[in-house]
Amino acid sequence: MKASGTFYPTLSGRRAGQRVSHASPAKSLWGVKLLLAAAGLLFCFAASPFSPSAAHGGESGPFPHKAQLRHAEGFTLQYHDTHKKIQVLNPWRGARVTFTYILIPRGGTPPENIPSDAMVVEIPLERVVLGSTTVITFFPMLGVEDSLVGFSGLKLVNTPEVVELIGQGKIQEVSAAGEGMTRQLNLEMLFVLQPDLVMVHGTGIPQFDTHPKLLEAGFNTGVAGNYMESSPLGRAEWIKFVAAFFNKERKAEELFSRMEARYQAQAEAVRGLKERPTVFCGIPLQSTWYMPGGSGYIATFLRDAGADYLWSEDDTRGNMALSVENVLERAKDADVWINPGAAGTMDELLGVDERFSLFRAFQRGRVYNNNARISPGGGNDYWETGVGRPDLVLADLIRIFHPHLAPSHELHWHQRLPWQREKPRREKP
Amino acid sequence: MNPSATKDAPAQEVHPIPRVSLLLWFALLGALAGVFLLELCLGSVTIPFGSVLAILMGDSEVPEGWRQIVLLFRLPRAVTAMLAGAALGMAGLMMQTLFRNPLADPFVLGISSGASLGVAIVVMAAWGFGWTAFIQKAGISAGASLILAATAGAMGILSVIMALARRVESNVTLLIIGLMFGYISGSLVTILFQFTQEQQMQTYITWTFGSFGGVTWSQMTLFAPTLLVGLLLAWSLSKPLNAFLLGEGYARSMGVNVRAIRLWIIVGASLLAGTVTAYCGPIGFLGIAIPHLCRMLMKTSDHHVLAPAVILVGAIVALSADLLAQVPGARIVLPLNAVTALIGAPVVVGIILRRRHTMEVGA
Repeated sequence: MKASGTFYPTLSGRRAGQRVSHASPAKSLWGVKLLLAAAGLLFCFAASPFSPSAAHGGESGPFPHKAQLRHAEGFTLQYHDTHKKIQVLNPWRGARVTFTYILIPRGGTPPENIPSDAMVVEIPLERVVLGSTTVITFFPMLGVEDSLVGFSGLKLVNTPEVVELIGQGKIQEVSAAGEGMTRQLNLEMLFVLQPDLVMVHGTGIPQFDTHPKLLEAGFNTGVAGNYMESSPLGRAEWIKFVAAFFNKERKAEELFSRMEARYQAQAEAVRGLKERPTVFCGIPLQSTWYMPGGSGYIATFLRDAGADYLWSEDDTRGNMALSVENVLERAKDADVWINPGAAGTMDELLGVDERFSLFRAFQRGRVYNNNARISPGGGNDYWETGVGRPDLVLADLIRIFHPHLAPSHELHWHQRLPWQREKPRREKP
Repeated sequence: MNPSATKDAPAQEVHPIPRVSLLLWFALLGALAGVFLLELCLGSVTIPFGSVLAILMGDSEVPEGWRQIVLLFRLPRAVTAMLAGAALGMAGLMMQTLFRNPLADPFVLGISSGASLGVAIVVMAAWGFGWTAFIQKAGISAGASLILAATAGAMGILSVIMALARRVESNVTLLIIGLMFGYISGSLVTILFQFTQEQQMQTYITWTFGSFGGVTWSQMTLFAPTLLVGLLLAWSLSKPLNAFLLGEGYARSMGVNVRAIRLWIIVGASLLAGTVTAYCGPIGFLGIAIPHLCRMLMKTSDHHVLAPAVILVGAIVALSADLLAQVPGARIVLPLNAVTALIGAPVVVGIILRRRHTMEVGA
């Protein structure tokens, strides 16, 4: 199955014509079957021995395990008799488009009356290409990392299981040029890899977005918008998005529920605390201070960790561009400063701008950054495996703000910035 | 040649200046003082005028936070804006005269692109070698290497242009060559990006937005003297620059050592534009707009008059642009380059439409 598995035509029509002809002789047979399948519903059932019944894990319909969403707001997941329907609602800031996916068992027929822009994907996926690290951590969590055949920017990866696969040469580089921010996907490589799905994230900025070109080339393209979720649990719940493509809902639900419980228990433990250290974030670039919005991801973490974020009343989700004097006035006496850009030491911070020493948090050495784990190519693990483990990120933050509540926890993604170090990127809890 | 002699410029017999221009000089000085004070008073944090004055007088009764904002943020920012505006205007003036082209400015000739390339290489190399090792000594050394990189990049591009200038007669050809070199350095920067991490790229991109607020007092100890030297050098070139207005042949007949003066013009313009670009980013339109504004105000092309005028007007315009960029009263800030282009471009169009022969002597 795997050998000839590079060829899985869908009935969406736009792919079949663009397939290169290295497919096995089974191709014509497939074509006939699919034609017949499309012609009559009865034959459809006859043609379905290819549907991977093992993955269904039960007798009661094709999708016995149904995931329920509790935190994620960026996608919906619906179960029908013959298919699942996923809709990505908020792929990027201010997006006016949504993406709809119709998931059908392998060899199955797509239902009638599906939206014209819907993409039909046969599941479970066997060959996946990822365009960024935003969802990569969910693959080993679900035990489906073996399905990864390509990734854009291999040097950015931190996830240990995936790094190992890369080391074994099982995952190909699909980036077209270098590892920079403007990297595009190498379409020719994708034609060789023949993925069932290319999962990317969108930005809404045409120069950076890869999905229009992928769709045009006929690839099934998943646009994951988990980085748009403003709550950490919502972002982590995208494990169910990935799981749906592998019929791994049960595992996803199990993992997520446990994590959710741990997260909420920790948040509950600090909720009643009277003493809430004041905190501010970020660093100015060319005298504009980019401060996380009070309704965003970082702000939610800070609130749940029992800190008093100085811009928590703000309702922005993205970053706010503030003037430095504005930040100085409000945050001068704050207790803690977190995530000061790329700084790895206090000296670096001072080298950027010696006026940082005006902040009390700096004077007292209470400056923490989330860059303790960086891949050789500069990928920050906080935005990679951290996305899948909000409970551990929260534990880090509680350790920072309320050390007495977590005396045994060692900082994982965060580090207290030290003075003068010999070598860059030394990992220190 | 003596810079102080320019104060007597209005009395010079070559270009008699109407007496009204004395008033104009005072008006300019007054305007400069006005926007300078406004820059110190306005910002996203509201500080009363009286308190700002008290802070400047050294009064320690004023809240500590306000003193820090005025003395450590607004004051260096205002000084930076003044110096940068003057320097860009002066570099533009020299370029326009050297190439006898009203559209010449540090940007068009690739000086700023060269400076950008220098900075891009340093920023990215710094990360490659370890940002820490590079910046560890902090302050001066890091700033010095940025200035050196930007100036070297600027001079590199301009020297290539000047080397070619010996072969080509037409200034238009030279201008086109300058533009092309600008594109080349731009593409080299883009290629560098392909091997760059997002954070470095973000640093570089925000650098290109331009800002006067990044220069701290410790950096000022290098920034200000460098620019002052460059400005004095440019001012002292007023006489040969005047000769250049009538063409190199005329300049030569006047006894000007054309080759040497050309070199000094290049050095001066690169130092000025390169230093400003290193610290504040590539700031557009000031270099081209300010000389035109001054020619219109002073109704002359005499560099003895234009040089001090460009310094004053450059400082005023740069301060005003920065004031607008900070959107007084609001907590947000706009990229400086957006503002300079917004006010600079219409000014240039208007002036060029109104005064077709703006580059001619005495026009």
